[in-house]
Amino acid sequence: MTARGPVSVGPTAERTAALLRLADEHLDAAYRLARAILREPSDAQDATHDALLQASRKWSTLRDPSRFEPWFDRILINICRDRLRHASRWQARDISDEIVSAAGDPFGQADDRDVLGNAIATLSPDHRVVVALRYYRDLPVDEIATRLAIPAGTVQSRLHYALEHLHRVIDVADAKGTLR
Amino acid sequence: MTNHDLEQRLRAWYRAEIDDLESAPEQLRADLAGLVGTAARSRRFTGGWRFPSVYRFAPLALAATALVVAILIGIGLLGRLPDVGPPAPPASERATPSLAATSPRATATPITGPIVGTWATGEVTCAQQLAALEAAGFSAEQMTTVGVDLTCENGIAVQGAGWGARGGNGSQNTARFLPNGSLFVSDNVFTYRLIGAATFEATDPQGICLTYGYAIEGDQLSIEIIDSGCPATRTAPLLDRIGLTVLFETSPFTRQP
Repeated sequence: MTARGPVSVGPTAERTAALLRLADEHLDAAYRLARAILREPSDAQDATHDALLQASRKWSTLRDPSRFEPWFDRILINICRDRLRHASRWQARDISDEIVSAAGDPFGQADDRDVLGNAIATLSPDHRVVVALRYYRDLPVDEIATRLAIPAGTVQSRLHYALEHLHRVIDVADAKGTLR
Repeated sequence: MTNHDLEQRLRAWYRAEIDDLESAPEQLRADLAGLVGTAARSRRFTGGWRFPSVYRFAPLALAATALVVAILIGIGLLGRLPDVGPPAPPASERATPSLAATSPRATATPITGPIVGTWATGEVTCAQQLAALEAAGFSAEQMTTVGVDLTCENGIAVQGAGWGARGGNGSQNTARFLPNGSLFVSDNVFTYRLIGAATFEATDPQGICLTYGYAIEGDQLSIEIIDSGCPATRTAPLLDRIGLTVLFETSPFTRQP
């Protein structure tokens, strides 16, 4: 065996056990947040899994375990955002034709949820994240800013433009005669 | 519709979309137990650690692998079966040359050299894996910290067994060094590049890179980690160093047809 580089000391068993406990406690909420951002259960499961991996690797960087939830949320949110970017799902597209088609469904399967869900799907990754944190998690702007490590003004701005975008998409659908 | 109306609709949409009582899938809890190693040792191994975002493709990848193996057997081109077993990478990343050649990881200049090709170990035992870890200089405490079962109970040496899912007795490791820079090691996907006459760097999908030395004698390939990082990256985490030692250093590889 040739010489290898210095071997760093791994996390202690106690700290590892603490990670297990905290992650276990927060797992359901984290998964639901991933669902709110990504929507698809399988995507949310993958993202949460990746976040667990990353958290285990970065665990030694968390100084205060009481801050686990926002710390882990930030890891998860970054992963969700990356997945949205890579999937290019966020790219704005005109979905009004789809909505019109759905509204014309004689069985009436299209409803308000479909319209809004499709509109949310057209938001950019950054906008989807702030919308989910604000309207799913019900976090105040300052808390969202802390979790995303961005200024509160940026959060306000993103929310403003996200709502404006949603209005626009829904209005286009209305103009084409769909139900809301 | 006012902003207030829209905000109310958004809240209602999320409430309808995601049940407050919705739980994380059981697979995630199993993964969690595998991740934390020692802390989960009292729990029974349920599937464990793996590289990210692959498990939901495992059934598809296994089915595709089974089909490929059946075809190869049928036309008499396969001397021995390739490894199959969970966790498998997505079907799009399986080590078929045609797919790998179109991989975004592909390098512009094909890699040439004696290491390019397919290699496989014989069956290895848990004791051999532990010996490899000890020879590599890992302490018992370090091993147990990441979940190595020093007792080899249940035939699993590395609890979590994510490094190719080959922990324990009777496991076998394979390594496919493709000319395009893709390296498939027992169902895990890396990129690699030669940095010397007998040295290469391999990086996993998370960007964790280690430097390896290798030697080829006849049809035998020996690999060992010579640096726990790469010049452009920091030292790899203990978990990865131990897992990759199990994969690469337990026993020599033999060239496959």
